[in-house]
Amino acid sequence: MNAQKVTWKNLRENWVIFAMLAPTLIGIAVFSYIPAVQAVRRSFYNWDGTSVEELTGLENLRRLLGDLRLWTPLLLGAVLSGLSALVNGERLRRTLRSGGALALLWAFGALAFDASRFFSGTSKGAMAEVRGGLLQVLGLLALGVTCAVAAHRLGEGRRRAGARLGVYLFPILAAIVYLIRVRQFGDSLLWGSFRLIFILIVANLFKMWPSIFTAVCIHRLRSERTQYLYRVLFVVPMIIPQMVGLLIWKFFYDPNVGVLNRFLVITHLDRFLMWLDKWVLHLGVFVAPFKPAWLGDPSLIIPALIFWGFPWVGVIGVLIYLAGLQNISQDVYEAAEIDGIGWWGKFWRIELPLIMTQVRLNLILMIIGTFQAYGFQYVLLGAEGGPQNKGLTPGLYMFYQAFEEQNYGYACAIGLILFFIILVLTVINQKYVRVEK
Amino acid sequence: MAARTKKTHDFAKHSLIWFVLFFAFFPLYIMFEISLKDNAQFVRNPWFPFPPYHWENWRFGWQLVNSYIANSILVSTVAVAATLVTALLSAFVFARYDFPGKTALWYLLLGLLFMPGIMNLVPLFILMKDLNLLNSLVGLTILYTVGGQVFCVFVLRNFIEDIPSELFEAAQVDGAGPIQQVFRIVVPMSGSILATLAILRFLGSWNNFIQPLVFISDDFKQLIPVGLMRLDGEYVKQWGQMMAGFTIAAIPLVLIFLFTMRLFVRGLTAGAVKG
Repeated sequence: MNAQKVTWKNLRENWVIFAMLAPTLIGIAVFSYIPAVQAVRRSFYNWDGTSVEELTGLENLRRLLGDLRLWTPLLLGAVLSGLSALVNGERLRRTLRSGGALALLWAFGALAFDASRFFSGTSKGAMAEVRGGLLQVLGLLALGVTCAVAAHRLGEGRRRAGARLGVYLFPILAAIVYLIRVRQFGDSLLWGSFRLIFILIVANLFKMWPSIFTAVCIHRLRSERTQYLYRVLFVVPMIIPQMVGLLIWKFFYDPNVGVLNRFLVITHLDRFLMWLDKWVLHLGVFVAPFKPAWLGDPSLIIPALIFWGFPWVGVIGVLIYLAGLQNISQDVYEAAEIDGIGWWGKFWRIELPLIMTQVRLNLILMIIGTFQAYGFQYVLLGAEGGPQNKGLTPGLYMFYQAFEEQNYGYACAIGLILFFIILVLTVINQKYVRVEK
Repeated sequence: MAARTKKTHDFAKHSLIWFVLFFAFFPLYIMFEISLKDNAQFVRNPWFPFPPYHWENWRFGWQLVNSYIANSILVSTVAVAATLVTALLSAFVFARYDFPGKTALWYLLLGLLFMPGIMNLVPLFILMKDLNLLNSLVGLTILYTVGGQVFCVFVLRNFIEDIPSELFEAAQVDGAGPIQQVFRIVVPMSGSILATLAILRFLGSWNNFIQPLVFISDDFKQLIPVGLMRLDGEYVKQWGQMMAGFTIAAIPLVLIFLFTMRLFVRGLTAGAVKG
């Protein structure tokens, strides 16, 4: 590829190429980069978009997270240690690792100091309230110690690497749990939204499998024409606007006229749910007459969000996996058949390993997507995330603070925190997932 | 024996696929079937259509959504065209020229991949207000155009770099400038990739929901996703008319799909892998 050279000298004759670049560059500068810079700047303001505008420094972050003197070294240490595992180059890695260790040491020192003051200054009654959090902290610390012992005992290898990761991970998690649950720092709505995201991501881990199975099923059909037919049939639902799909599912969940409740009544599953509620769950939502408000009852919102989209086969996912599966040559299958490997064995030993790249890609995209999601929850539950904010995601919380409460500065600070989390995930994605393609 | 087990396996595969397809199509079926009912019929039996069929729901449905559809078609079409033209021009420059600051600019462009849209929303709202582009379809079109740049420039740059450079050199000898080279050489060769990108961008604009929600306030300027959401939010619902409206909102995409099925399937696959 021999591109044409344009140097500073003949810049003037080639002004056309800059005119050609201009629309794109001006567009992204004005509508992407300026807002991004503004978002960072406005995180440090108390700002309602019109009249109130004052520089408050770190106040927004303090309101969101709590005592920054404890958070800063902890997060700094975590990021530096994480980076040290990602970068190439031995010297840089060592510098980062020792920097991270130093920051973590400082963080845990400060935390220990804080904890000793907290425990001596708190009455027994107040202690009882935070007992659940304390137990979690102790459990995580114990896991950390176990990992340290294991890392010491195990020989070199993947297990040891895993154990060493645990040595870093569990104490950091313990510290975070301590700050959030024991000291009850920061904005509880924000922590609630992160908790929701965590639950949704765990649920999505299970919801990834149906797409994989479906793709494998289509792939194993011997007729090319049927394969193509199914591919087309799977794309057809994509032509329905997403909003229509959302609203129809919302209608399925409607307590009075919705299809889901009617289905449960017709199949007598309602009796099972009522029995379950009476003797096991004690929620008090499945009672006669059977009209649970799936999106209106605080204890049903998260299950409803998880059940959403049953049987969880994403068109895009299926197409990606199919593209990956097509690279498997027929010889591999024939060899497997000679070795007498059954269909389940073929799945675990041939197909899954060979589409692992795509699975990991989907996994990371799913996690990033779940973190950013808020339109979905907005349509279903409104800006407050439904009753008791059960369906509030971080993005929705940002939206709520900005456009319902006019706390633009605070909203920008939430956006900033989200940005850093997503940035970390994207870096991991680029480093571990994309490179191998 | 071996043949028989194979057959049963195939049957199992087909039934699993049809199970999934049933659920994928079930919402569409429910939508269509309810669009033919009045509320009394719908409460009596939501599952199957039965006479009398209320085709007039479709007329009401059309009245509910026609302005939203018109706005959406306008914004999406203009945005797709503008995206393709601007992305093609800059992709050509990135592919064919070395100029001072090229690498920096390229990374600036790719850097947007790291920037979640979620962070920009609030300051973008203020910026649009300052530029007097709030509540304006022009403003929304600009946002959609900018939103498509990174992906399209990225794909088109790779495509143009694969075109043999002799073609461009020959054109240059004949006195063709860069813009002529784009429209005489690149465009005729890139029909299918441009169509694929156009479909992807059109789908993206058609489904975009947060931006019209935040940036458009007048109902008569609203686009289809938010319009549908507003219909759903009304207190007393005429389910039949609403579902007819939903069905009508899907028709433009259905038409595009019918005419470009092959490209559509391929575009979604490619977009999924790269996006």
